[in-house]
Amino acid sequence: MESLPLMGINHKMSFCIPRISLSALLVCFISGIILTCQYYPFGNVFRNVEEITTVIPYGFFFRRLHYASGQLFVILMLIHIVDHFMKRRYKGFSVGKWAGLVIPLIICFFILFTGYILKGDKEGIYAGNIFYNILKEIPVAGETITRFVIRPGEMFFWLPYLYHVFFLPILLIFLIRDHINNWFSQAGFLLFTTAGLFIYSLLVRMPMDIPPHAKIELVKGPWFFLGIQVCLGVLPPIVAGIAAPLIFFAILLLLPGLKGHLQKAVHYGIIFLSLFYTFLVIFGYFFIKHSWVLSR
Amino acid sequence: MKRILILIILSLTTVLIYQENRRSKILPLPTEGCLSCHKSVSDPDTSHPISAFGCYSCHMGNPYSLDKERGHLTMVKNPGDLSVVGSTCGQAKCHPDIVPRVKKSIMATNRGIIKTLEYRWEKIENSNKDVEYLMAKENAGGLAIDQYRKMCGGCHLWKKRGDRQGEIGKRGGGCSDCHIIDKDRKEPIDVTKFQHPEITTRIPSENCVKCHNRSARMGLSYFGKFESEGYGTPFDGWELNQRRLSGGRFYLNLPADIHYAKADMTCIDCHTETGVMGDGTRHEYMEGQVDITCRSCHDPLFTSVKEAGEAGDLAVKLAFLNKKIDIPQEAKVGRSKKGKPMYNLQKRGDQIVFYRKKDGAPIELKIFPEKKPHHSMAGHERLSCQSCHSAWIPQCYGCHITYRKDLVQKDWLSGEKTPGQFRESRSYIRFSKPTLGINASGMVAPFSPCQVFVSVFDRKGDYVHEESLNTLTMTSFDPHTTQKGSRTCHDCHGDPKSLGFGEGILYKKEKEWRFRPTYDAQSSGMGIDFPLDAFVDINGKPAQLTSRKGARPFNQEEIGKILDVDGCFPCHVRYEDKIYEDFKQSRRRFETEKDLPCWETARRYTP
Repeated sequence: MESLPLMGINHKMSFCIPRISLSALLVCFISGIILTCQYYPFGNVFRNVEEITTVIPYGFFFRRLHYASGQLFVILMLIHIVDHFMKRRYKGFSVGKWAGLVIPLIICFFILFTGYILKGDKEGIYAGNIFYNILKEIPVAGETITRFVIRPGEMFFWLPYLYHVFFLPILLIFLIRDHINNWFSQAGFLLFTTAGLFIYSLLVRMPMDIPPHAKIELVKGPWFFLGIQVCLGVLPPIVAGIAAPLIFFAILLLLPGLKGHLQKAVHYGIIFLSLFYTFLVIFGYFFIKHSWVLSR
Repeated sequence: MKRILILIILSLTTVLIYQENRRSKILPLPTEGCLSCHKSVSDPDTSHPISAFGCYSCHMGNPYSLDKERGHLTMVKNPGDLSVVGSTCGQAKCHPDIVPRVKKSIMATNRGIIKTLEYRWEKIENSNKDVEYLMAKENAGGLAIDQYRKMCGGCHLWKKRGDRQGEIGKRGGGCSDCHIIDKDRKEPIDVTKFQHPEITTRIPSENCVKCHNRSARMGLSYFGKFESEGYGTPFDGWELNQRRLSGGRFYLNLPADIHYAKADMTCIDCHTETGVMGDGTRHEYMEGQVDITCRSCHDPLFTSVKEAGEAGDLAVKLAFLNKKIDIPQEAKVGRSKKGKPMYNLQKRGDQIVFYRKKDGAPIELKIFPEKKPHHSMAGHERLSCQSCHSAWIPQCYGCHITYRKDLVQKDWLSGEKTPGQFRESRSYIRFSKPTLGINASGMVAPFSPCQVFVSVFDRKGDYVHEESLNTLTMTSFDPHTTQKGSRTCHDCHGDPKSLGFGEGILYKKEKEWRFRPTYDAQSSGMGIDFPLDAFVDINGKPAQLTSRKGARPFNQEEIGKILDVDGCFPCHVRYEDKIYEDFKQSRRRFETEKDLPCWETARRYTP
């Protein structure tokens, strides 16, 4: 790849997506480093975030840039995996190599989720509390695991901060290091993506942050979490928040290891479940009118 | 291509730098982001200075933002709104003890109205519904509740303030309903510099009257306004007169309550904070919540501010908030019916002074002269003050309501238009000679009619007799038309209207009392066999229902006793007349001693 796909050399989605995605990741890292210099995960975090957004020079821009690039990276990565999945490329992969694709996606969702908590607004705090309560439901080890992921009180934002800023990004880079080596060589993609993200960040406002003490009827989680949020309204937290996602990703991970009709059946099963979850996300986005899930 | 992209990125960076430099920098930052735009806003009152409270404490929103859209997110325009008041006025550091009381108060629950409607219209005896319940459950109840939702439901503290133009828009809004002084703004607001609506504990009567001008119409009567028929008379030249109330209703000027006419007292001079905002109990009816009687001031009990503990502290606090009335530590303050301090009624030494809350002006107070014969005479023990001192009472006869199922109407509680439309009209309104009866407390008191004829029409527009109903009720309330002078003896003992028979001629024939009514109910086609203004017939049989358990017209025995006295008035018209010291004995003497001068008089005047 020597020039931009939009210039007509290669328009294939499979080719462009990972490269744009990695470019977005780089922008995300750089903007994240800038924001980290101003972010303080203790005390009145919401105030701190608000100051970054409206007081500190260029703060609004870097927040938008970080948000947009992070979302773009994860969405493109998701599309990349769907692309692989639909073209059944996993058949040529070992379970280990396939896991190298699926696990980074899971990590990406966790990075987005911890970022959502770190906003420090009402939605972030609710998301953190739900996450905390779901983790506590894990039999036997729930309390212990929770202590390593999220804790109530003054430390509420500290552990998500560590995961968001250090642990998970480092793990992600480690897991996709080959992709970075292979695909992250064209400056054209980086410039194209950066220009696009700059335009977006200058023109489009971020979703509003809801003050923690605001009295509102409805609090929703991040878009990828809405399906789980819907399920939490009707299923026990251990099922909706832990078992169901775990089983889904376990099946997805084991897919290359299956053979024949079983693999075919699981393939279509994953498609069905993914479509169903997409439906739940859309339902949650448009039709949840009260924060009934959160008031359980 | 790369050069073009680099150029684009550089251009965008230039735009960003330009944009950032254009943003106004506010350094040092104000305590709240709000104040960076709203630089010069007047204080709502001296107890809530913006310099100390900022905006967020009351209006919420995002106090850290310098961006309008972000700052205003989740902001509440009216902090007094009961749906948010727990986080604003009622938050822990402000007034946490008052807000729960207000939510249980009758102005927030409207329990009395709802209960009476359901009882009278649908025979539901133990209705426990209130506004909050009805807001949560849209399909709770039948015709009576639908009537409440579409007619009465526009007047309670849960209603959103400013949801309409005019008087109706000023109603509601929780705490703000009473504590904000309404001023119509004509000029658009300059966001950087404007007058914040004024908050006060010296509630102007306009804030009360904007709601209390219908039903019992106390808010009108007190100020000497009687909602009249819709004739618009007397004319102003060729035009209908301009004495108009909201809704285009006309009024006449009648004698105002003496407390207003003579002392310029406003509603809150009598009505205490407990009586208005509640005492924490979900009362069934307004009279359960009201914390004042005539005796509270005219036959007062005092308590020392120093020694009264919490009550004394509350008195001092209320006086402090009033800012016009001073309480010296050595003063004693009056106590209300429920024992709450009345900080504006003070005893300083031997002097009893009533202070007007709006301006702190002292008012000379007449202490109840209990030893005077007219207040202490035997047989008058059950008389309420209102039964003699209320000059008039608004009386609405025959309120006609049509209910059409083929039309829709706005539900005040949900804000949605729902099937079924009510329309009200009436037959006639009077003010003179309040009818007397026994109220729910067992006292003789004035009664006024509340007579509803409901005609139901189905979706085709046809009248449905089975669903239509009428409820003819007499209701007792304080008319708020107190005068110094009272009714005469004959006004009560010999007037058929006062006794509850209605307008007509009361006469004796063959030693029997007879009554010929003016109103011919049968010919009027009302479907009733008694005059609309009759509470009871001459034999003591009740003609109409009452709105409270225990309330009733005079019974036969009482009517007999009352009428018995009337024959003595031509000669024995003074309260201190000896015959009234033991009227039974006097009566016995009259019947047995035929040489009494009474007999000569009786023979002279009896045909």
